[in-house]
Amino acid sequence: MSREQQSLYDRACAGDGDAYWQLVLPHRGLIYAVAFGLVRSHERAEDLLHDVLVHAFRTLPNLREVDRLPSWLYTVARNRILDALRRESRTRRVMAASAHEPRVIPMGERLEKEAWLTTMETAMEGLPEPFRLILAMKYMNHYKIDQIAEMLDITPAAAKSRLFHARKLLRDQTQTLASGRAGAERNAKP
Amino acid sequence: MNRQQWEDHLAEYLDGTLDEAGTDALLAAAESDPALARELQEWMTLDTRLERYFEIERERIEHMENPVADAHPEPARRGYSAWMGWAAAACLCVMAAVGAHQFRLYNAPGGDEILARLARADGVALILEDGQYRPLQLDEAIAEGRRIKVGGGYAAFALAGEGNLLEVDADSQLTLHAWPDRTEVAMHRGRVWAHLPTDPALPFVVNTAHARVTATGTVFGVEDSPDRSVVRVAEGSVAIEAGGSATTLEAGATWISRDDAIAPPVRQSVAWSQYPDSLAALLPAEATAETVSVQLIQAPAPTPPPPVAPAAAPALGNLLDALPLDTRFYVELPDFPRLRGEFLGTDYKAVLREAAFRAWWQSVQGEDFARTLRDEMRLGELLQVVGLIEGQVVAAVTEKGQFVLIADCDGNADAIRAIMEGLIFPDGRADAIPKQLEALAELNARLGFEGTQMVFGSQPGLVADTRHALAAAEPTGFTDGDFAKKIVTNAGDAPLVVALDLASVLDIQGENLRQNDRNFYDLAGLGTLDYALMAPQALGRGIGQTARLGFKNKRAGMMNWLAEPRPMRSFDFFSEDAHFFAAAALRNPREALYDLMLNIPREEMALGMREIVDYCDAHKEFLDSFGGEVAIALESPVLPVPNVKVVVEMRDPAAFQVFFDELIAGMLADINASFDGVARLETTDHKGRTIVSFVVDGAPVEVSWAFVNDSLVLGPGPRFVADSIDVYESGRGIGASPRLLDLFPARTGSEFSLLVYQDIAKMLPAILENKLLVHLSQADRSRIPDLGFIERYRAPGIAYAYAADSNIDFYLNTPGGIDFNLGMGAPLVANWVMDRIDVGASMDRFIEANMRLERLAAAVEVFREQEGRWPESLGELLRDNLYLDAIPVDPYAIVKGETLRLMPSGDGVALYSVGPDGMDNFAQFDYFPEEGLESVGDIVLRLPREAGAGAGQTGAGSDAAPSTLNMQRD
Repeated sequence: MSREQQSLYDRACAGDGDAYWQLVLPHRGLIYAVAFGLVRSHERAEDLLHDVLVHAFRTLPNLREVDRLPSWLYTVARNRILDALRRESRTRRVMAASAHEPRVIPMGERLEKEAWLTTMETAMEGLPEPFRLILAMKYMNHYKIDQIAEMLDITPAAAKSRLFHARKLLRDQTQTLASGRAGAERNAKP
Repeated sequence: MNRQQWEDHLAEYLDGTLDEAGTDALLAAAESDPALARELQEWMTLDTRLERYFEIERERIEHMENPVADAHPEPARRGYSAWMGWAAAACLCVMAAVGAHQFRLYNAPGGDEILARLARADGVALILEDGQYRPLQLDEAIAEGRRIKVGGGYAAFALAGEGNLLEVDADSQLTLHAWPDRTEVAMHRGRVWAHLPTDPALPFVVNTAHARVTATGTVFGVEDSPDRSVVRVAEGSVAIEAGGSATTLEAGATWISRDDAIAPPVRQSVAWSQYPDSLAALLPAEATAETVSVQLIQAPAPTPPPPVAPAAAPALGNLLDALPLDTRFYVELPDFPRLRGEFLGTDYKAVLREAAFRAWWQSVQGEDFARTLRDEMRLGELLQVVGLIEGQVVAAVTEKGQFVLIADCDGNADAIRAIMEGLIFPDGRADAIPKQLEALAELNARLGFEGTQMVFGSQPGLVADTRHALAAAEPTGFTDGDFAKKIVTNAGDAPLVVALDLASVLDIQGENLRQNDRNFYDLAGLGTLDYALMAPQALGRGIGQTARLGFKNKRAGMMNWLAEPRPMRSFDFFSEDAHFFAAAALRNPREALYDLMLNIPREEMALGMREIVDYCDAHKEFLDSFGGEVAIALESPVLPVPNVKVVVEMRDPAAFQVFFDELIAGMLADINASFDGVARLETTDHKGRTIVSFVVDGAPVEVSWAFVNDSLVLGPGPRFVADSIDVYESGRGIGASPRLLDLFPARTGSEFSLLVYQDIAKMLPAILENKLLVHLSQADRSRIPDLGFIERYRAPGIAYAYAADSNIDFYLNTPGGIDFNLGMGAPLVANWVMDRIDVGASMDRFIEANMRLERLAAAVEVFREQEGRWPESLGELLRDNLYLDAIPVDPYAIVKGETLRLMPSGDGVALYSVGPDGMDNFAQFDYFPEEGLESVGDIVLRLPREAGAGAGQTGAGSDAAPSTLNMQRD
């Protein structure tokens, strides 16, 4: 732990919002990834990210070692979001519906995108949550394997294995989608 | 480079952790194989695209502004938070302790009309909101239908109309209602004075359990308690309706709902008001004197109470009288609030403050556990109900296994019902769905209130019968039966009684047992048992907490092994570092051996009845040479090898030693005959005594023993036996330690039939570390909190027993509080055990899936042999029932009955189960249980098999693949 981080942590615990922001800025992506993995909606994920960040600010003194910030944030985010979803399911907004509802990409947006990105988005949305999360941890937040393992409460070997399987599944799905698209384009030609 | 090495290198390469040599090998492999080169290119492209994809995701949140930017350091923040936390915790404890949780009544009229404002509060005035009480703020508006509680002190509420005021005394509860034709105060308990100098637009009504008081422009007081209501008028007059008739009460008069009761003195009734002088001045002069005769208005003849009003008193004085006649097990808590208070007074909260516990509580496991308690076990609601119980509680299980609970809840029926219904209608009843209404009907059939008692049971009929017994004050006759009489005689007035009618239960069981079970039944002597009783103040010689086993006539079987109490000495061999030992006095070792041998199933016993008797008689001298006392101890330090010592008392050491030496010589000869001389005896001398060790080459532990006076001492090596000899001869064993002696009952000293000592807290962290955690994986270890803090709660204690002809009494003496220790450890252990149980269930399915895949694979391999090709579908195996008559069902299938699946794979086929996630991944990636038993992937068995590979092992990755064996962690 660097002295700077400890200082930020102490100031954040004392209620300094700016210090808190500097402390959590590198980990926003993690919270967002957790949220998106559970709700599969960018808008909702952004709302939940906001909510988790405010909640984490209030409960920051519960974190005893600033070294464990990412891991703690992961736990707080996951629990907070699951609680939110549970509350929603109680008010009969069924969590499963939002979790697995396929996203329809508007045509205009689709045309602007590179084909590979559209394919990637579709494949990513079909990816089971644990796989998507570990990819986000690796590629969005650039955590090391050890950090990922600690956050997910698995061994580093298991984290490596899961990461590899996530890539493998994603590769298979993107290939399937790409070949499907190519076939469709061929059929569409007169 | 084989496929597995390629994938391993590739994964590390993409992770950026592959070393230089590995990178060279990977690139060389790709250069030499175009297919691998193409694959590497694909992976690299995917890697780059993943980076780009997540970069776009990152951009989505880049614009986000600091949601707490406005927050600035507040020096008092932490202290304030802590103070708030403690205050909240204290409030919660107090509320739980006094049963303060009350819930909004259903069917109250709706609307948000403001009826009153809090004008003054000396103490705590609370308002019920969303099922929880919260403090009222000064001048806060009270809307229609709100329940108010004045917990301590005093509160005054300004009512509509100038100068109109409602004073509320401590320990009062009421609800304000706005009806179209009146303003109403529903009093649940306590005292009020209503000052109504201004004529309100609508009549002002105070409704109690016994009367309805209507007033306009008056000053009057009302007191309400479960057995009576009292009304006093200081100015003007009020109309009172009670028992179907009405009367008017004038200034200075007092009305009481019972003609056999005496109204409290006038001075007392005005003393608590903040305006006692003006009230006294308003009252006529003679009424201020305590000697004044109170004007009693004769209450009319009693009529049945209205359905919602609680009855004045319990219908049956003792709730045991209402238990079903065929009760076989019951629990009685004669004064539940006191027991609850005692529990809340224990120091369990200190444990919650322990850093290790807090850290665990905030971990993922802790959060999950808390969520289970909160959302699944509904602990919050359960505690709320517990907080509303105000008197005796009894619960019973009948002969048919039906359950009923009766609790004196002192008029909190509405609040309890509201809590229970809140579980069914978490969002209110407005838009209830049919399933919820069904659940409500179920609840109503099983939960009822009779007077001040709540009845809850498993069967509607049982609940109805119990309510009838209470309402009609008709005892069921249970307390006149032998079982109840025995328990009442033996339990005295214990604060907790748990009783089981063993005779009746075991007689039924004994009749239906198969032979082998019957043998055990006889060996254990279960047929002689009469009842079991736990009552902290059971009559007997003990101290502390007590239980008793009662016998019908004389004890038999194992129940008869324990001798009457006698002085015990074996613990003189154990050092003060012993953290556990148990010692028993056996009545007659030869009889015990008879019992054992006679009850071994015949098919496992080479000897007939005659031979058994002959054998025991032939060794009579040896068996009778036992002195009777046998003890076993676990000592510190905690070692990887068992640090266990055993002491056996001898009545005739010479006879014992002869036979013992013969026995050892026989064992030595047998082992050496089978294993070519690996065993031998070695002897060492220690302080003039011979220590003999039975040494077996290659065995991790040797057994050593020595004869010391009239005792045989055994230990896990000569050093340990030598230590015991030293302890014994120095007289500094635990038998002389105040730590043990202080626990002994004063009157009987060291005389016991059975004695168990524990100082586990002292050693628990070391035991866990050396005996348990070493067997767990890193991931499992991380789930267990650091238990070092337990040592601070060290509470050594003893359990002991006295055996007599017709009963065995058990006692506990743990001055540190065994209940506290159990309470502290139970959540941790429960969570840990539950985790293991889950693992067990998940493992069962995993093993079952593997076994079914193996069965399927056998059929597929036969198909391959017969047809010379792999099947294209599993249906082919069913052709004419040639290979299989049915495809095995997938134990993990989400749709019940779905079968295991087949996919072509390379030159063979892959048979697979969808695995715990239930998703069909087409055998494309495998389930790895070490990633978590609920992780994703399919359980795949690939054919043809690679050497050593089985189900659950990928053909390519058998090194890393799981096996059933390595999953059995514990």
